[in-house]
Amino acid sequence: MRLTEIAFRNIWRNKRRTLLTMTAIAVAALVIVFMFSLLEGLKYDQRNTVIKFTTGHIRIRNADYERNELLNPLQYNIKDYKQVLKVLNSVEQVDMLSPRIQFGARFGVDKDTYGVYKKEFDARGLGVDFTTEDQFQDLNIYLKKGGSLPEHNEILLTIGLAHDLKAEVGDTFDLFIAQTMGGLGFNSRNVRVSGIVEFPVATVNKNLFLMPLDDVSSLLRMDVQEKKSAIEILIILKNPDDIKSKAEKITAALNQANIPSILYDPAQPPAKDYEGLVVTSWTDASAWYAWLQMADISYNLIAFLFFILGTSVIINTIMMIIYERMKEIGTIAAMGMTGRQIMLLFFLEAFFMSVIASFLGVIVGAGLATALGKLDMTQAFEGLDFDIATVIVLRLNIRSVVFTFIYSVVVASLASFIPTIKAARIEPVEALRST
Amino acid sequence: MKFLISLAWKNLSRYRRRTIITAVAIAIGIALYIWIDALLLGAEMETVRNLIYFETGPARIMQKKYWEEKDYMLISYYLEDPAAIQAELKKEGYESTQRISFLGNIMNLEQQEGSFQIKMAAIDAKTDGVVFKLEDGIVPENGRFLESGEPEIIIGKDLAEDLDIKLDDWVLVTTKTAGDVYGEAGSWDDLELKVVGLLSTPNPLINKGMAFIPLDYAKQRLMRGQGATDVIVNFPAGADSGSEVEKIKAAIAGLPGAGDWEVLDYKELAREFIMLASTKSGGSKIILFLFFIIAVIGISNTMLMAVFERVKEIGMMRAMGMKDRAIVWAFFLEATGIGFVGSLVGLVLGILLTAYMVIWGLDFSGMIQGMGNIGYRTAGVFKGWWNFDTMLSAFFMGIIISGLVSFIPALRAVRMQITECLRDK
Repeated sequence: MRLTEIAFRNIWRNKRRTLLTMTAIAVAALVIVFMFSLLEGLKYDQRNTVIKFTTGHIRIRNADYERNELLNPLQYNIKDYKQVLKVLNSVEQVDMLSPRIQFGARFGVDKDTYGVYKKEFDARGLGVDFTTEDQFQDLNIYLKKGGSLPEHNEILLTIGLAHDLKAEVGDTFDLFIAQTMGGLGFNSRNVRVSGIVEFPVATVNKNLFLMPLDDVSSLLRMDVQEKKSAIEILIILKNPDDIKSKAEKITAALNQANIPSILYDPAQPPAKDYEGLVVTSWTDASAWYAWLQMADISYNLIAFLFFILGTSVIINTIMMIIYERMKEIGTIAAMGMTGRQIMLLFFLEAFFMSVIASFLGVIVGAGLATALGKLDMTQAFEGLDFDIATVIVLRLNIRSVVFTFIYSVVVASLASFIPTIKAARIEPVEALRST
Repeated sequence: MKFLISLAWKNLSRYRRRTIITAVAIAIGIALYIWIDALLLGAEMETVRNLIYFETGPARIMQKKYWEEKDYMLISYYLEDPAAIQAELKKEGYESTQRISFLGNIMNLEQQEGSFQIKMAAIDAKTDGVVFKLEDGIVPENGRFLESGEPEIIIGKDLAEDLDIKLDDWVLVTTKTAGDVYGEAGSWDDLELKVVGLLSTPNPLINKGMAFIPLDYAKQRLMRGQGATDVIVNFPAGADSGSEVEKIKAAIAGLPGAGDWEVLDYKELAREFIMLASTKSGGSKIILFLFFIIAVIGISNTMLMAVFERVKEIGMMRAMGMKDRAIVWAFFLEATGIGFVGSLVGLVLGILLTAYMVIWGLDFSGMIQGMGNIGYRTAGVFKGWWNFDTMLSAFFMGIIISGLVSFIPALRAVRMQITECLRDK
């Protein structure tokens, strides 16, 4: 009789034992697949946030702005940004573009009898082109409580800011914006709230508002001869692999159109007197990327611990069931089976069981992750003084599913050798006497 | 009973291999569970520690109105006699310090290239150290701590870099003073201040966006000589903050105006931050729960297997006249014994692993590119935190699960025909 046949029959001979073993393997595989999609979801979320809100795949800025970023020196901007957009749109790899201006602003609330505001609330403003930004950030999806995207002299509030200002759609506010050339002077403008938006990222919702880019450009006196300016342009690529070479292409295209640009190289920052544009891939926009790497490491550490535990459970179970069958090993050895055949037999048994079990495990795990789709963590935020819907989206990654399957089969099959190596060498009588 | 215990003990030592495998399964499960919990908690506590030592302090007394509008940091809602509050607290054994916390626009006085708004605090140079650890953040080559009464300022190192400020440079801080009428905003005031120290703390928020000036100077310039926005009270790190707050409230209840004050612990003070941080770190509860599942499956499975394999033995015992109940108890005791040994080993191992994580931590900083730009030293090093609750509950869970699980196969075996049992494979 062929060994495979014996092995396969052995599995079904003692159903209870098989069931227990397979449960252990299946649960380990299931939980690991689920854990992977949880971690993958967290990673994706963080990356998506950084890319959509901060760095793009590639970001273009003025070199002087890059050097003095925290001062928010609006005078160092991208002049005539529409011309730059035109050039970028001609590059084949570019999928979406988002020109932006970040600026500090202040809302005055509650005037006292002297006309002085009792409270002045600081907020971060973001000037964007709403015709393209809607697609870039899916703004329409996040628009809450009706409202529409802003037009001239209108703003879009994030939900946290709307709560702080006790604002509803249609309310008007006095908005103060610091002027371009430093100093503490403010321009003011009366603006209408056209809509309230709730982004899926809690921190973004806190004190941000959005305003039409060209409005911001003129309000901040950034226009040059009727031409509008922007602080930065975020680029989303059609395919984010090999960002560096694509950034190189973009730099070349800009230079060809007589827009002086260089590719940012962390090892060799642009010279102090360089005043052109800088093209930075998001992996070099270092603080964010480093922070993400750090998060990744902690996730890998967690995954690693799961694997250690999973491995120990599988090994333990397999060792247990084989040791319990020492007598049986003695019997078949007495009937003339060689040590190698015995090892192979138990290896095959473990292999068959683990293939079935880990298949079931990963399928159920993947199914569970897909069915749940996302974990609503909103409850964890209860007690915060504004409501934020925060969900962790589970992301199933086929690679990790396949990896988990192979992992559990390999661990289970190899684990069978631990007891059989010894068992194959002992005398049949010894084995028969085993308890 | 004595017989059952000795039987269980004999069985444990008789099947040494089985005992070891089962105990190892339990030990690994318990140890890793304790460890991962310590890691996840460590990540959370890192932020909390930084928060208490550098931002909030353990507990804070301030005007209710100041707290209601905390985002604006309105210094016009100040405590009129903070020294009296401190004196009352002192009687109860509480150390404290006072501060004026406000928003200011800071600018490099020489370059005047633009300003931005930061959180500022006027601190009592003599007593601030009883609550906060700011002074540790200044190494000698970065200047010195504040001295009372002088127009000087210490600012975060990264903030200084962004403003292109070096030691002994001057900055201009623009802020609003308290109004003539209590609660009304005053006028804008410009403070010219000399930078005497650069702070480099483990808290990136301080390094990146805070500055401190002497309390008495700020009182003169901003408050017309009196009052402070908050009194910060110290209590020991491990203490139950809820009951400490109650004690502090009781201590100051007799003072005039106490009804208008708010006493809050760090959890309340930084509620949004703590919640954002803990949820952001990613449903660590879910991770812990998933981990728990594998551990429980590992333990219960091994135990089930160990007892199921001995149905024949149970049949033998029954055939020889042992009572069903006694058999079930014997197996329960045996399983509990294994559970105890395994959990104990797991606990010790878990404590050792956690100790390593608390004292040294895992250093991954080498694996991160561009570390210099994050700029604070804790980045890249994962540290753990003691969680004795988890250790204790994991230890007992290990024992209880092992014991309970043994009932399933044992009860089934005693319900079978004795002949069935004996024929069992």
